Amino acid sequence: MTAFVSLQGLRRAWNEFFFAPRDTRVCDVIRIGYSFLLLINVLVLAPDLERWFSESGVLPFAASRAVVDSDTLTVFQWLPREDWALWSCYLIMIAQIVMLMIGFLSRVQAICVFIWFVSFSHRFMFLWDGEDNVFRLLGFLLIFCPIGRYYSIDRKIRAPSPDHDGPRPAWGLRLIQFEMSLIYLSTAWEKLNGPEWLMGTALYYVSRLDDVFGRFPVIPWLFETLWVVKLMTWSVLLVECFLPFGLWFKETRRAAIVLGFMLHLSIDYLMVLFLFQWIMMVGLLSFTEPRDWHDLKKLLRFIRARLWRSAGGATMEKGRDDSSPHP
Amino acid sequence: MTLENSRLPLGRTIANAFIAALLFLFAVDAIPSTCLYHKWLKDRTDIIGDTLGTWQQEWRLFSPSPDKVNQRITAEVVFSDGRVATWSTPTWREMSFVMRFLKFRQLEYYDHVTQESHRAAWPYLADDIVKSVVDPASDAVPVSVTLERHWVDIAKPGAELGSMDSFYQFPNRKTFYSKKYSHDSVR
Repeated sequence: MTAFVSLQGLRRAWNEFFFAPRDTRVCDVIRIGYSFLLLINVLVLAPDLERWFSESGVLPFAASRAVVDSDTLTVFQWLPREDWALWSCYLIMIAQIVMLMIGFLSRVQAICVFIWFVSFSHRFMFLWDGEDNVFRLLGFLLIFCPIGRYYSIDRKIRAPSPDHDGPRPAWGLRLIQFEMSLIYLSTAWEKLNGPEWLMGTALYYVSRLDDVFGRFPVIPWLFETLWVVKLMTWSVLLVECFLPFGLWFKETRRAAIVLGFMLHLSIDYLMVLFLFQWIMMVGLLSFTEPRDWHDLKKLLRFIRARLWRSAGGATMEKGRDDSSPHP
Repeated sequence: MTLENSRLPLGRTIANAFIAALLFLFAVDAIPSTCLYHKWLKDRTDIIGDTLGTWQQEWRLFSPSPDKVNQRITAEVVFSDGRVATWSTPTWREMSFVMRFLKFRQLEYYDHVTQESHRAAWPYLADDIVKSVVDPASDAVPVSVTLERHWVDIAKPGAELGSMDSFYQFPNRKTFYSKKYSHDSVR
């Protein structure tokens, strides 16, 4: 009987977790942020497109299969190995990313964009890095999110219907949250097995890498003083250990999101890791709730008013309180 | 009507099975190997991630140990008229952050291409470098190209960490690829 009850409880909890109706605006915020970053990612490829992906480039198709797992698929294996085919694929991908961003036939675009991005990734495997793995996985999971319901062309052209508006299940969003937690858990786990992270010297090595470190000016003293380096290394370790758990509890969720943003912004200040930090922050948005956006708006309005007042500006507008939870 | 709609029990069952399968596959793939059975599971499920395009592997991100090497690639191309052209990967730290951002794929490529597992790409890297140094005004054709990897190991920190720019010279070098050209192989 107990086993039956607990099984029922588990089933109820599962259904509540994945299928409880919820505000899905954040799915569209993620859609827009994701496609904007992906657009930058693929536009940066343009000047060297033929060098990377054509038969006259640095890795012809046959050679590319020698350096990639043979199970991987790419549409390029079925297409002519000509430059016109490459450019056509590239331009169609860009067009579909733009359509995903503006929310025109959002789900169809999400499916196609995922297929294109996987195809380009598998065509030249070692051109890509961790951020592209996040792009791939978020792109896949976005397919299963209720996207295109807000801030989209789809919303403009769709006839109003109770089935489309209002809260609805968003299990795709739950899967994004799960994946984000897995990323933090996996890297924290790996770091806990690294002697340099435990001894606090990991950032000493990172700060001496000449290709990725030093995006903006830093005070050299910070990375030339052992105790400061140790403090920073352990802070990173602590935050990364906290995030996979802290993001899930309502008491710690906001603090975890803020810490996650601070971590990524500070790494982005210090290092050139392309779009990794930004796509991670887009992923972190999956943990936000309408109330967070509302409170953030209130906070920004408060700060603006204080700045306005301290600058001797006009009388503050009073009595305006936008209670809309729109992100 | 969507899969998760509670009015469709079959749809809900399919959605549940799909979610459970993804959770399982993602967790097996992303979490570092905990035991031999986990490793076995990773190997068996690898094909699903590869085929779907959802593979991820462990998220190392400078772990368990951060990189401890700075490297660059240089090349020497000899032409039929005796001219020798040299080539080198960019000095990334001297670039503006905008250029480093725009050239990030090059950085990735040069960083990874020297790995032994990517040796299939070396002949094409050599050809690409040769093309970039050919003088179109000259009739001379390339005779040979030699690719070298130069590197410096970032030393263990002592009580004094030393300057951040202590490891920008590359005292170690090794030829990792060389190629001779027949006269019509590069234009």
